[in-house]
Amino acid sequence: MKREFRAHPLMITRLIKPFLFVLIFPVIKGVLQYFIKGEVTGVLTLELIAFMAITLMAALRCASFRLICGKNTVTIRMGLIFKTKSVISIAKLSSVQTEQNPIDAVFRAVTYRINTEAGPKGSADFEFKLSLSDSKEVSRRLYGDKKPTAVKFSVFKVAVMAATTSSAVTGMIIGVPIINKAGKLLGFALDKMLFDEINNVSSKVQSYFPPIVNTITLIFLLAYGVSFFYSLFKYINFKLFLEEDNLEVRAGFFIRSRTSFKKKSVKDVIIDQTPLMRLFKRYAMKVSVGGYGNSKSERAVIVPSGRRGEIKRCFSMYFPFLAPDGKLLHAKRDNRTKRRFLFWPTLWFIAVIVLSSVLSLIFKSFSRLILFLTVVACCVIMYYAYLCIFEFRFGKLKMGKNIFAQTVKGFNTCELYCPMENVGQIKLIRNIPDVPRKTCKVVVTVCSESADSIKVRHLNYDEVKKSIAECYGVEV
Amino acid sequence: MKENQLPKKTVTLWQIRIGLIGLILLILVCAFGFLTRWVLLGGAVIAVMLAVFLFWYLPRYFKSYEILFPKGAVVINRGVFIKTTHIMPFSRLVYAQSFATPLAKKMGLSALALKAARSSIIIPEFDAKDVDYYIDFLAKEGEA
Repeated sequence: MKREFRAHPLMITRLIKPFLFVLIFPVIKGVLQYFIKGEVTGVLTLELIAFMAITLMAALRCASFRLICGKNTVTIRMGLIFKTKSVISIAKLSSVQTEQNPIDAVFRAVTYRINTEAGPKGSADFEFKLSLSDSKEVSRRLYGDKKPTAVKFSVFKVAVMAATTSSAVTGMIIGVPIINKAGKLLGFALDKMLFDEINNVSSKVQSYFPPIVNTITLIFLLAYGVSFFYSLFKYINFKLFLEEDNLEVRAGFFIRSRTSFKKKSVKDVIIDQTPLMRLFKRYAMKVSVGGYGNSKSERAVIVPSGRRGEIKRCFSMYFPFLAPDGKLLHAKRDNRTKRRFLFWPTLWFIAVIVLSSVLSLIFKSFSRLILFLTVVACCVIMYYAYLCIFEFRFGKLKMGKNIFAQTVKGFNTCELYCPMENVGQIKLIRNIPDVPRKTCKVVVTVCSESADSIKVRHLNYDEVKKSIAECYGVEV
Repeated sequence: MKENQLPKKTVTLWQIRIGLIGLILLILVCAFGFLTRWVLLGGAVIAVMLAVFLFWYLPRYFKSYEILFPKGAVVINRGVFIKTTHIMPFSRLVYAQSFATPLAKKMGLSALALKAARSSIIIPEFDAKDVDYYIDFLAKEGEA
């Protein structure tokens, strides 16, 4: 039986959101100015007219919205002047996501996202506001109302994940625009004030290295802190709801989100370990779901943090159909191959030492700063060398009904599991040293929006060709 | 929609749309005629090109549209100078979307977009009733 749902009135705010900084805030500022100073500018009148027109259009668009849940299809109608009607087969849905921020909670509304493999990358295909009761009814109609098994993850585990996956760069990406926008809105240079304060604090710390090192370190620590708290509040209250065919992930503190998807919609499963996770012997399990998420990647966290045994148990329980099979392929475990794995770290190390020596001779007054940068670079290269050894010892590929690969990706160790039909491309790369040694690099790319890929190095070329022929029936 | 081709109304709709845009461009060019008479010559060239495009190319382009539904796929043939064939298997089709502007709605027409992962096919406006029929048909085929 079909049922029609209307948008929650709060959707008007979502529709006028793009005009927030160019129209809404100036109008509010102008109105406040009128009450404080008793002055009205000609521009304010114009802005008020534009504001009213945009709000009216948004209200009419909101009123025209319809979500119709049928037996096998979902129909979304929207638009006043430019009308659109989209019909999606429920079987083709990748995931649905509900998100509730504090304002939504007050008005008992949620942001509802419907994701498919089509649509623009990095944003939901359909995003709208529904009332809380309607959103529950829609989810029930799409994914059934079986009693799921709930798996809770403690705050400690989420904090471990937040601490081990956060980075200073992410913190800067999140923090800098907020500081800039807040400064502009408040009408004073917030970024300058903050930088002066950082300079003030860092100048009080005495060390062998120059003050700039303290300033940079402090900035990085602050950015890491921002990233940590962002990640912590994003994933706090993490719960996983298991059903026979479906999975639902719930998380969030200020903004609560729920993501539901069918296990069959999972493109690949990734078990990864960041450098900090490696220190604490923890792993995280993530899945790539077609079209999922409003971020750049389409990965959903399934297990935020756990020991290896725990993660493996969860994997075999949630995704038994992805168990690896087929012949195991790995690089030769001899000293010659080990040296090949260590070629790039050695080259980088020599380059850094030579460059830092030359720079210290030319810029003698900056020798302490150069020493600091060299130490940091050498530490990074040593970790890179350590990962190359890991790749040499544990790098492997299995091609069968399912594809399994274990290797290093950036500074993380990574395991990828996916069904053979989800593989979009297998690339065999051979450079000059590979030809006489009959080896190759294998790059497996998953056919998905974000095209997850994994590279396993120095595998036997003939064995790889044989495996591809057995698995896909393609003679290379 | 007869014989899997677009109706004549679609050509009229696009002639109105492109004609209006061309007319605005022509008026703008002619408005600068006071600078030099060469601008008017440019305007004349644009007018001729617009006329050729509207009354020769557009009808042929829309006439070349052929929409076929062989077993398990949508096939769309189009093109005057460059012939293009677009094939989308039903298994890859994720959802269908219809789109109507006020003018198209007045003429009883609607466009259809077929979305697949990383690709989409847009079929220009045809009868709104046919669009609804095709959306239902594609939704059923997609489920199969």
